[in-house]
Parts: sequence; structure tokens; C-alpha cells
Amino acid sequence: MSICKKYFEFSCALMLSISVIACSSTSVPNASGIQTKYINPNKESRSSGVGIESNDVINMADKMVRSILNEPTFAGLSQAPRVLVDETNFTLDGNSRINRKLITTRLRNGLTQAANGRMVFVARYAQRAIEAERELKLAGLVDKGTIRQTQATAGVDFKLVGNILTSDERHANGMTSRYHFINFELVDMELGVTVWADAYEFKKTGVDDVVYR
Amino acid sequence: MDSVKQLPLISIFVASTLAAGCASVTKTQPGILSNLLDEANNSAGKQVSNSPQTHPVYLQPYIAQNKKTGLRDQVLVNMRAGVTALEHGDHHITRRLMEDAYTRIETIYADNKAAKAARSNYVEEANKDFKGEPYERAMVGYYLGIADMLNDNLQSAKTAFSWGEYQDTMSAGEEYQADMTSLMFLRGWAKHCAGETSAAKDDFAAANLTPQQNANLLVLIESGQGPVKYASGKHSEKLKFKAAPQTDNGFIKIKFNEQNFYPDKIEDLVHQATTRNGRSIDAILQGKAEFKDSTKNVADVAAATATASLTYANVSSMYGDHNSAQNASAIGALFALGSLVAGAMSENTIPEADTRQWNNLPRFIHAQTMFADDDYALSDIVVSGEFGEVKIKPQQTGQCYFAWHKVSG
Repeated sequence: MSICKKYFEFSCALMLSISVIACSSTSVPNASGIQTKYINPNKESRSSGVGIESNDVINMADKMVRSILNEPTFAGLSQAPRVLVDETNFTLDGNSRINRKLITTRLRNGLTQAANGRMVFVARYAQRAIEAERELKLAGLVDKGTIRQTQATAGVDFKLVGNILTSDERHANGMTSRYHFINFELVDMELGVTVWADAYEFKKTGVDDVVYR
Repeated sequence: MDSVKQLPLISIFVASTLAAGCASVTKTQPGILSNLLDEANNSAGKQVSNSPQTHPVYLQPYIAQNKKTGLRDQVLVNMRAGVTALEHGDHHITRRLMEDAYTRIETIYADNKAAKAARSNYVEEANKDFKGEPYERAMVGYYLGIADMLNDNLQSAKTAFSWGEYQDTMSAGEEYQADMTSLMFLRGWAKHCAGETSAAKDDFAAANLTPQQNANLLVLIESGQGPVKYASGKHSEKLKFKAAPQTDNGFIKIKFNEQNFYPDKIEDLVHQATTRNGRSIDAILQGKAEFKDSTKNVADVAAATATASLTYANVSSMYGDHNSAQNASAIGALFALGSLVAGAMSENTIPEADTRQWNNLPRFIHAQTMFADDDYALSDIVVSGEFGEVKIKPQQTGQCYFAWHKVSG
């Protein structure tokens, strides 16, 4: 009788173990949802890709603002130079898809705040609206404003050019990585030479689950 | 002895639990196709009310499918709906859907529960969130780039084509890595139209395709049905690809400004699908298949031993050796239990390969470049062939013009 009881106990334990090991059921992640909340864009996000994230945009824009304002070429000018910072010559030359305006607008915004009159920024992106307003003034449909009148809108002394370059690597162990080199230059729009250049670079790596390799 | 008598009942219970509980797939979150369509319309400034009922009729089957399959198949639904939207001229929708697919494919799935479950013996591979095979991922880059070009965003188009080309290199065992000439050529074309002439030439050279002299109009025509996935092997554990029965639409002729053109075939997706070696997951599926066989063998051997033990118990009992009979019947019951459990494990092991597929891909991509004077660059282009005749209109993209058409049927 005792041997039967032992068999029974052993069998029950075995079955229970098999049931626990075999049934790898999973629940729905965040089944009840997650309420909207603010998160700090300066922090690394929990999204898991090898592309550019918000903290990269903020860090690179801040770095470029400091770098441009510390450039002696601009400090030594008798008049504040007119600078055009937009995405028109800022190109994507890699595998990371990003809205270029996000970078150039963040950079222009940071520069405008920090330059404190040492540079002025040409609003070419608003050119159509500016021209329309000038025509209204010229036609006498509105008055001439309170500050000044000019012959023409501002010409550009320096323009931002740059590109986002990437290099992707895939390793035999499934690891993928992407190196970003984000190049920024200010070009003298009269002489055609680069007067300032800097770059922001980073590399991200990760391994996808084997079911995707 | 009472305990031993209960064993078959308990065995059946455990086997039933295994059968019912272990074969089920993990749950997924609700799909977001309707939200993506709203976003697409909002960003394109379309004045439509954002509710599933007001989305285009031709997308309703995808919205229904998305409700049923959820986020697990979001990329797949985006792929299919994106092509259909492009066929209907809604390239802003294609762009948003392919952009979402791009983001999801880019996401690195580490410590993902659904992916982990897909590796287990008792859950099928199709439990994982769909990302597609390399040729399918590459085609997300292709359609995203086309939608970008039609939205006159050549910089993003360059990135999309380049990213698509990179997806084609994901299989370490592929025989012809980075051989999607269509994507190299299109990246070059996007650069050409963005005024990046020197870089464009490099891509044209890499693709071994050179546009016509002074070309500023590109016509892309898709024809045939894309590759078909099927599962082979004793337990359907091997993913294979083959050409669809309807693979070609015959010749393609383009008539523009009183001139006839016969575009070049620049891509064959069946070639892309069939010239890659195995996936890493194939070894796991092979292991599942072997586990299914070995547990089946264990179940068979245990069942035979149980039968023999019970026969011996009967014989011993007949001869009055009740002690031996009792032991033999206990051993027999144990082997019977083992057989049931192993049988249930074998039965519930799912080694089938994931054959979910992007079913509205073309097989061939044809390209024709030509020069179009600005005066007539936006005139109709007549595309004809065995399928009949259709008129398409080019759109301006940067310094160039672009037209796309998918031959149906």
C-alpha cells in the first residue's frame, strides 16, 4: 500500500511540475491601459530602437548652440551677422527617419534665445507672409508699422548646412547597431566657405528576439 | 490502492489542462488602424470627420481585420492597407501606415512576452507580433519612399529607400545580400530629383541602371502577384516561398507625349524571397518538431509498457500472486499516466512556421525614365498591356515628375 501512495504522490508532483513548466501563458501587457502622463524629453525613452530620440535632438541642439556662440569668427564681427537656420540644406543621408525641422527648429530656437543680439536669424520660412505684408504696406492698405522700412528683406550672411549620416552594422550573434554622425556647418553665403563646423555623434546597439532574426 | 485508482482520472485532467491551456496564443492589444487613418487625414489637412465609419470604404475590410487581430498583426494590416490606399491615390494614408510599420519593424523586441511565447513548444510562431520577412520589410521602405516622393519629401524618400535596402541584408545566410536594385535605383532617383547629382550617380552605378539622358520623369509600374509563403516539413516547421500561380501580366507599354516605351523590369520579388537561406527561428521550429516526435515516441513506448504491466498484473492475479499483481498494476498505471502526459505534450507542441504574408505585393517592378518638358510633364501617361489600358498622371517631386501604377488582376 505504501508503494502505491508513493507512486501517487510522485505522480501528482510530476504532473503539477509539467503543468507549470509547459503552460507558458502570458497576459496582455498594460491590459487596463496607462493614463496619459508627462515624461521628461531629456531622458532616454523606453522605446527600443536604434534611431534618434528626443534626448538626442535636445542634446545635439544644445551642444550646437554652445559651439556656435563660442565661435570667435562671430564674436569678432562689428555687426550682428544674419544667419539662416532651416532644414532646406540639412539632408538625410542614412537609415534614420526623422523630421529634419525638429532639429533645425530646436537649434534656431535655442540660438535665438541665447545669442542675445550677437546674431540675428533670418525668417526665410515666413518669406511669403513677409512679402504679403510688405505689399500691403506698399499699397497703402495698412500703415508702415512703427519701427522702420527697408528696401528689401534681409539677405543671409551665414546659412546652416548639414546632414544626418548613419552606418548600420549587423553581427552574427544577432546584435544590430547604428552609428549616427550628425554634421552641422555654417557657410558664408557670400564667399562660399565654411566658417564653423561641429558634429553630434552616437551609437546605439541592441539584439532583437531570435524569432525576428 | 484508492489513490492508484484515481490516477487515470487525474491524468486525464492534466492532459486536458495541457490541451486547453497550453495551445492558446498570448493575448494582444487592440489594433490602431483607425487612429492611424485619422492621423493621416489630419496631417494632410483632409476635412473628414474622424470615425471608423467615415474612413474610405475600400479600407473597411482592413479595419475589421485589425479589430480582430489587434496589434499582433498591425504591421501586416498596415502593409496591405497601405498598398490599397496607394492604388486609390491616397498616398497620405500609405505614408502614415508605412511609417508606423517602419517604426514597429525598427523596434528591437527584447524581453517581449509574445516573442518569448513564440519560442516555447506550445505556442505557434505566429504568436509573435508580425514584422515580416526581409523582402517584406524591404518593401515597407519601398512604399514609404514612394509615398514620400508623392508627398514631395525627397529627403525622407532617400532614407526610406536606403532603410529598405538595409532590411534586405538582415539574413546572414542570404546568397545575394543587398541586391534589391529597385531600392538602390530609387534612392538614386530621389537624390537626382533633390539635386544631389553626384551621389545619385553612385546609386545608379550600384544598381547598374542608368536613367535616360536628361531624364526628369520616372514611371514605376508593378505587375504580377508577389511571393507566396508556405510551410513544409513533416510538421510544417519549414518556411518556404514560391511564385504565385498568377505571376506576370505580360508586356507593359507606356505611351507618353506620342512616344512608346517598354519599361525595364528592375525587380523580381520572388527572386528576393527565394534567394535567402534559413532563419534563426528555423532551428527553434526544428527543435519543436523533434520534441513533438520524441514525446510522441515516449507516449507510445509508455503505453506499450503500461499494457504489458497490466497484462502481467492480470496473469499474476490469476496465479494468486497478489503482491506482484499490485506492484505491476501500479507500475502500469504510472506508465499509462506517463503516456497520457507525453501524448498531450506531443499533441500540444506547435512547430508550424509563421506563414502570415503581405498578400497584395506585386512580383515585378518596371521602371521607365524619360524627359518631360514642363509644359506637358503633368499630362496623362497611358499604360497598356494584356490587362487593358489605364491612364495615370505624374506628380511633381522636387525637380522631377513621378507616376506610379499597380496593374491589377
